[in-house]
Amino acid sequence: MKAKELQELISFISDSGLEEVNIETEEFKIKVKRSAEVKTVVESAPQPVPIANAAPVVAATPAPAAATPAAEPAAAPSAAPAAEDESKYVTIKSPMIGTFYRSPNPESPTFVNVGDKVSAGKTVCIIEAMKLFNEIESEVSGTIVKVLVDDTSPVEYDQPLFLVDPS
Amino acid sequence: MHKIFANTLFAGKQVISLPTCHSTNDIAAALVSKGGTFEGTLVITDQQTAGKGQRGNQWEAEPGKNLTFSLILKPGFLNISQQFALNMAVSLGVHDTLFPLLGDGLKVKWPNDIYFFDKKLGGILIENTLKNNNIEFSVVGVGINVNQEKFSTAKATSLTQIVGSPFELREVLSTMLQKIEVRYLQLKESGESKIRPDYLESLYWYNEPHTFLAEDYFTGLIKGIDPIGRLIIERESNVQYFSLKEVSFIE
Repeated sequence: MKAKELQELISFISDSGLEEVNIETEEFKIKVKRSAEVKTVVESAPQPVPIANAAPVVAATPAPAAATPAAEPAAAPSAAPAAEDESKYVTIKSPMIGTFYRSPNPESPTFVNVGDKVSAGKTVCIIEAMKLFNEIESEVSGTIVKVLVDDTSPVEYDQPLFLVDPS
Repeated sequence: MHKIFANTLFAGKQVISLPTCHSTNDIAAALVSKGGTFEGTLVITDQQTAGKGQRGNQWEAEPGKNLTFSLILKPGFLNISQQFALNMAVSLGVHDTLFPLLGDGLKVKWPNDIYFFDKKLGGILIENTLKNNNIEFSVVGVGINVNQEKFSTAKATSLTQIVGSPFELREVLSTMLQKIEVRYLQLKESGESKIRPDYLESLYWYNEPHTFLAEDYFTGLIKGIDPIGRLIIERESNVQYFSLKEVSFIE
């Protein structure tokens, strides 16, 4: 694992709110622990060699700056009128037969709602079949204009799930 | 402290261990979406506070006594329609690990449970990220009851309960990673040709007359699994196909 990857991993951990994380690879072993004030502890590895590399990186890791790329400024929030021409919209279809879920689990909020901006690669729903859970990603960036299927309904192969306005 | 798993090619070469977390699958999925994850990364915890058994149902386990982990795989060679094959390969890897310890009572219950006779010993929960028509990442969650001695339900059991002595978790895990990897590579190299017959051989209620409930109660024989993972049951010499919610195992 390279120093940069390690740094990213640690910043991921700080963001995740986990209390303690131990990472072990062939080269090193490291323990990251959160306490009252967040601090990072490095333990020596079984072999002394690569830890010298890893240590400064860890020490240098600041509290993660929330460097979330600001979502592109939304244009005027256009609540698309129903009568509008739908041909310009992109349809997200089900790649398989299964059950459509709008949230990761029953207690969680939905992945997307009408009016939400999505970027390509953003998870919009889950299709479950035979206990296999598939996260479906939007292939385009745009705005969700319509959710075409009710939560927890069965869906067919190629069935339209969402309309996305790519403009 | 332990050496990293030495008996595998990629499984468990990077281990993220968490004394406690809500769900190893969720942590693994977050790592995947963060990017830069490689195949074989293992997320393991001593105590899972919100593990996923079934959607909504919790998988309860005493801290530090059982195996709860998620393995990140990249089965880009599998089309979406073949995804049940991954479930079969992982189930077999778990079966191969435990069979020498437990013997014939050990079975894989369709679609994703591990049973010892009529009690549940563990489960497998796979979550995929799809890209175009292929599986980009799979997070393979495995939970196996190992050293827990008491359960709130009589339908659960553990290795210790069955065998009568405790197990070294790390050893069971090490073997399991190796066996899952072997089956996974088998699937990658030769498709289902070896996986499918072995899976059927270890399948709970395979080819035995039992009672099922679909629209009504009926006696039937499990004859196999179709390519998309549906259960094939022969009922009075008619063959029927069932999705998960369409059939229950009665007795």
